[in-house]
Amino acid sequence: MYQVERNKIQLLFNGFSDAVLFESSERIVEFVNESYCSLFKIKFAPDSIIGTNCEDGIIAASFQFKNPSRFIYRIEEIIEEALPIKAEQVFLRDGRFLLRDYTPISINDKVIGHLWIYKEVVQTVNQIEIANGWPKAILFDYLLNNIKVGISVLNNREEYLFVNETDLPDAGKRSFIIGKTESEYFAYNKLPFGEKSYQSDLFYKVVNEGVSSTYEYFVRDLNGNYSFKEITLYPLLNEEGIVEGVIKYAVDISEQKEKNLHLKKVIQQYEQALNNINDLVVITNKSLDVNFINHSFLNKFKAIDDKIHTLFNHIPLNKYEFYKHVFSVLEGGDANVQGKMLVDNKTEKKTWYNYFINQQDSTNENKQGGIVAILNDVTGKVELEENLLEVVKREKELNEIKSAFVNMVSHEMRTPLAIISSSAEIVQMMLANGKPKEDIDNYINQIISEVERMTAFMNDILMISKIEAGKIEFYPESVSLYDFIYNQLLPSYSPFKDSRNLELNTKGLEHTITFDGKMLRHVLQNLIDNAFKYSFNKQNPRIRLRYSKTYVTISIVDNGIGIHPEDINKLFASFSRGRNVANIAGTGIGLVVVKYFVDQHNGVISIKSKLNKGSVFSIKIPYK
Amino acid sequence: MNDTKTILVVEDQFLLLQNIIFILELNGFKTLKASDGMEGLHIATTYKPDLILSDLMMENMSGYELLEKLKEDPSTQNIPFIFLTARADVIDKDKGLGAGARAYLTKPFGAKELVAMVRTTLGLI
Repeated sequence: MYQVERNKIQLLFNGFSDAVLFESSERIVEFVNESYCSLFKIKFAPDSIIGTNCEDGIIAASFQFKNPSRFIYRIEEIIEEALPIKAEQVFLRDGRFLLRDYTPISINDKVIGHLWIYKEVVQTVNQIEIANGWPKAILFDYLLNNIKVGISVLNNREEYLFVNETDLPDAGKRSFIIGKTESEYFAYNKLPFGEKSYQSDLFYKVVNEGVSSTYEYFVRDLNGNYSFKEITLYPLLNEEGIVEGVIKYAVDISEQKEKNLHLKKVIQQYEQALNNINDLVVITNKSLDVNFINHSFLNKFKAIDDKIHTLFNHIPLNKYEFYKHVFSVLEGGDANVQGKMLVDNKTEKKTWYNYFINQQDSTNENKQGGIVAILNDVTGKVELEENLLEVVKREKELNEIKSAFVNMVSHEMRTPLAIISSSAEIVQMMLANGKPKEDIDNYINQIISEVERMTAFMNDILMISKIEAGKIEFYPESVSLYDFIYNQLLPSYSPFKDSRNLELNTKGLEHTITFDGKMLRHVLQNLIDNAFKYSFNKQNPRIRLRYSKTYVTISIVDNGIGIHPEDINKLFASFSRGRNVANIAGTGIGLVVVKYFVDQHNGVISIKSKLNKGSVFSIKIPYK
Repeated sequence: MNDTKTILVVEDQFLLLQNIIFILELNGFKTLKASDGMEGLHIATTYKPDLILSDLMMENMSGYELLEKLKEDPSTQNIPFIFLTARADVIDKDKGLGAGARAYLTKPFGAKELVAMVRTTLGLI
């Protein structure tokens, strides 16, 4: 146990600048350091003293003290009392004095040894008044010399009146400099005197204006070493308030500077790293001035105006949602927010960004509570999602088309079937009643014609499936279009079943065109039927031929119910019908076939329509 | 055989209209005909038939609209109404009956079926 305690003390006080001695309760020296030997002018190495009798040593050392017997007596007194003592003054013969600390070392209340520490106080004490055990001037002096701040006092001619130990450790030089200016001092010491005018200017500013001044400077100190110092000059006022000199504090901030330099290097490395990533990074202060912006960010969001350094200069203010998030973070409502933003300018392709906005740590004094915004390009991901949605949507549409088809087919078959079945029953009744053959024939013809109608309908459906499978053949021949319409189409519509007529007119020099008669007939019949169907009770539908230089335009015009603008583009898709035709029978097949046949002729079909005014379907077919 | 009830048939398919008329007349009914809802409404309000047989999908006023208009007019709202239609879905049937139709006949239908439904609706059987 004892050994442990001793080792602890040895470990603690080895290399300690104050004089330390540790003796056992039997007054045998257990530990003594270098400083102790030098203070008491002991000519032996510390290790060789260990194990010797302490009382002998004390007697030898006592002669250095002002009152040797008092010194010895006091030590015995202290050991006997075994109470800790702090900073007790011990006067040396040469006028200096020491401060003594005593600590009894005990284990389980039993004193096992005594620890003595003597601190040297370099000051004569001739005219010092002693108050409360401490001479005030000595206390101040002690503080002045032990503080880590270089303190000096100069008169208003820049001459030194006082320099503390920290500022100039060498006692000789310290007394030498008094009464001299710094430049005189350097000259005497043959140290080159550098550029001091800046400091000099500040010195006289403090003297003349009576205000303090602080500056950082890379200076040569009084020992001739260069270091970074933070220097503060305070005016020294006399009782009348006149500046009599300057108190100068110098704090070595080299270490701080080096740390800052290191920090700067680290920041540079970070910035370099941030510049090499694909994510877009920007750091701003509270007013959204840009403190840092990485290369990726600059590539995507070029500055609008090079002279402005705010976030607005990169991301336009109309990104309302983004800025709403930025401000919510700035105002401290949220520590971080994320969102999605679409950038769609004319010069580049649409880009989607995910953004993360974080509050800067406002407790860090270097930062001012701004934001860190990180954006990543997620266009690829968004596009993938959109494509998937498109596929799902298409699948749904296909299903809808399928069920619309089944409904349509069942509906279109039922009406002719109703006619066929009723006609057949009527025939049966007539036969039973012995009606004449002519009456019966009428109903048989109805059955035949409805069967034909159903067959035509079936053919339409087959046509669609053939077209969709790409199995329709094209047989073009050169024929007069006018003759074709006049002879093959007009008779069916003169008059139409609702007793209206189809009007035909033509403009321009007639030109022979090459077309597949079957197809063209199908196309025109379909469009004309529609024109009648959707203009019930209105003016006669019209078919117009316009011969231009290279093509002919066939227009079918009606004054019917028209087509809703949003439906126009969908009309050429299978089974699609306008929204305003629910009560008009139709399959939604016709125009699909029409479009396909027009395509076969290298033609173009277009629609102009106005709701409740009418529609114009125009087909342009080139001559060759 | 009966008190010669008058039946209005509204159907835009001319041939079917003719056949229904023929069948009804053969079974001793008087008939009125209309080729769309608008015409049907006009005839119904003018002649007050004992029963109306009407197609559903027609240009110029559908069967539904016709029924709605008839229900609004106190002089016609009690005329029994039967839908004839190619729409076979249950949903459509509910819609028709919900609108106030007495019965619903899906195309194609047999002559006997038609006559039986007309008679039942008129309370003749």
